[in-house]
Amino acid sequence: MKMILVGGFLGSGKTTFIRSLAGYLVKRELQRVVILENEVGEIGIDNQYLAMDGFQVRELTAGCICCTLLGELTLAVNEIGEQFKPDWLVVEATGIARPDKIRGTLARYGKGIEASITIVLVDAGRWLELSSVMPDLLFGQVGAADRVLINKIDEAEKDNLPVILKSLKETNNAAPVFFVNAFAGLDDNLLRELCSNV
Amino acid sequence: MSEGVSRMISLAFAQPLEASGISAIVSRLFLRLADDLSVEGIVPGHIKALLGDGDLYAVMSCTRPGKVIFQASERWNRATVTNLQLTVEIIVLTIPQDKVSAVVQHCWQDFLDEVRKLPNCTFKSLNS
Repeated sequence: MKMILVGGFLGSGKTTFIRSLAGYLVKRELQRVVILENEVGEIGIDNQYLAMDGFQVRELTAGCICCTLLGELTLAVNEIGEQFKPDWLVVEATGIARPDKIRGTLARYGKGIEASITIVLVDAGRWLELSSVMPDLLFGQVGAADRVLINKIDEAEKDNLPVILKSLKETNNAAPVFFVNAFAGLDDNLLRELCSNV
Repeated sequence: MSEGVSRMISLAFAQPLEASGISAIVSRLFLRLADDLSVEGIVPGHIKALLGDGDLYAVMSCTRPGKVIFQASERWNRATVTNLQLTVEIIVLTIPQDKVSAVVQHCWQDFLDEVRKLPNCTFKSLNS
């Protein structure tokens, strides 16, 4: 199976993006997709939401798969691979997770992952404030990305977008960056482009 | 690691109520939470909720004061309900956890007071 790891700070639009991405893979590409949802809180909301939309969802709650739930992450991924044999596994990290740690764990212990990509979402409307008060977490997430989506561009001051892009490029110049508004909908061409690079 | 604060209740109405009226009350809860948990004009975290009854659902999300993002199943805005389950989760960084818990507790009590005023409504807390 191929894996798409989706990271980004709390409220950056990861679940909304995954809803579009998984919908594209299932409906347009007729692929089998399983979504692994991780939430810090004891009660998962995103997993219920995605399941109500008809997606196959597995949840890991009350902890973070980059630190406290590393073992559970490995077990869950391996079980999903054996039980469902999906074409795609989409993993939604918590908003406080470091994607590089998740990838490192799965590279060592994960079974059945033939290729993977890390997509990190950035909240355009809050990036400047968040990255100034939590630089290690925010820039750490961006640094681990293969692709960066600057999301919620409707909530940012227009003049801030080039500033945000510059700060992202200074951290990770290798990852292509896309400006999106996931809530308004994502173009199939963008989703195809993201998936075709895995 | 940061902890989230969660609240989950089931609501029951003797007479069907408009689903959109319930989500409006939750929206007011979010606006109060966001006002009290904002730093430099943003919420350094995420306030989110799921309201659901079978295949009828609404998801709400807030990351800045004054703005609640709302996504719902097709029927939500014209549906009436007799039962609903509400799950709210708040996770905020850079603000001390005890302050976050106190703000949530205060706003939640105000929310429950508003729920009590709904006609023929009973509710049951599903977590502490």
